[in-house]
Amino acid sequence: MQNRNKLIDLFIGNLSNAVTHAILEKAISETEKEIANHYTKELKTSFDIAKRYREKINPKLTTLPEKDSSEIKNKIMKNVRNELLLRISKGYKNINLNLIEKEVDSVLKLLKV
Amino acid sequence: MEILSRISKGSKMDQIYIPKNRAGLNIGDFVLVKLISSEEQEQIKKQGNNLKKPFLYGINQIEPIKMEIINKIFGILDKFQFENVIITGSFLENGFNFNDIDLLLISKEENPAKKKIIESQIINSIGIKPHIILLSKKILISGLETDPIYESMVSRCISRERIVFNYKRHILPRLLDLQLLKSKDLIGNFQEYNGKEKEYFVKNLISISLFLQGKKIKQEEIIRKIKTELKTSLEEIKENILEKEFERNYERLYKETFNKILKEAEKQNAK
Repeated sequence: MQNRNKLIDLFIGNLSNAVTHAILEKAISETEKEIANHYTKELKTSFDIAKRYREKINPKLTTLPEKDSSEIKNKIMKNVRNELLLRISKGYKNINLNLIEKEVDSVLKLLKV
Repeated sequence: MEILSRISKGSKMDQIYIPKNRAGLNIGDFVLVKLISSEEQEQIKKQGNNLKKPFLYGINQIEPIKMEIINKIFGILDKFQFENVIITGSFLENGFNFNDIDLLLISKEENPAKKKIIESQIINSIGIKPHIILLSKKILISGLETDPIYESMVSRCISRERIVFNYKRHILPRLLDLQLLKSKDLIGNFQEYNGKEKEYFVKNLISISLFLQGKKIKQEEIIRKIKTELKTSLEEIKENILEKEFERNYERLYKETFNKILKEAEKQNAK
């Protein structure tokens, strides 16, 4: 049995990955999008794994306490921001940092955080 | 079984060629060579396609029953008149440990309704779910130029028509980054995925790494790199019997590959 803090860390890591992926996908060109999206397999994604971790974190059926949810949100936002800034520093274009909060809010809402 | 073939002229003896990958008619068997009636010959000439043998790429041998399935699939798809039909993926690997059959249908038009019809016809005929990818030749070539997954698909495949593609690789760092990010899911979650899923993440990571090194993405090359970089075998990954060392090596290879992509992005940006 993993302890609660460890589960929350894993949950944060997977959601950070899912949000980074979503924002980077929006930054690529139409041709790149067409190439990338043609071959997709029905695989478990980091969002699915995060969902599985969420099911093990108490309270399971209701939203998490305010303190936990704001800490989780802040950590995910920080992780995603760092990942995107690293890419921007290497010359990536079209990355919209303003999307971070909106994307994070939407995944957290889906997972009752 | 019966095979339809044509007598061809040889220098000392005339001959009849039969495909190496076939269901039945084994080496050493005695067979009866019989002429078919002129009416039947006329009918065969009209049908044309039924005489065509599939083209095998990167495959030395395949189970005869799979060849029967492939011929059935080609038979179903012939009436849809695709530019080419390519079968790839785990179905072509030794044994019967596959979930579906990956089908690349090369066509000028992308028609989702057609996809549904084909899917149900194949399920009704052979009872196996196909994973259909409908794409134009242009997208396939763009994919071969920029996305390692496409090259890994056509390096081991069976196609209806001969595959002749002229393409030159070029690196699109953002596209590779996005594809590589899929393999990041495994890091920190090794216990959450089964062997089949791990195989996908590993092959994706290694294909990108080979692509960045300018190497060919072939099954043998992937297997070799699994041994040298991850210190394990493809079988152990599939069976999910991996040591802790695998996790460390995987994470290291992931970081190295990611850093190469960032370097390439920086280089291209400086131009």
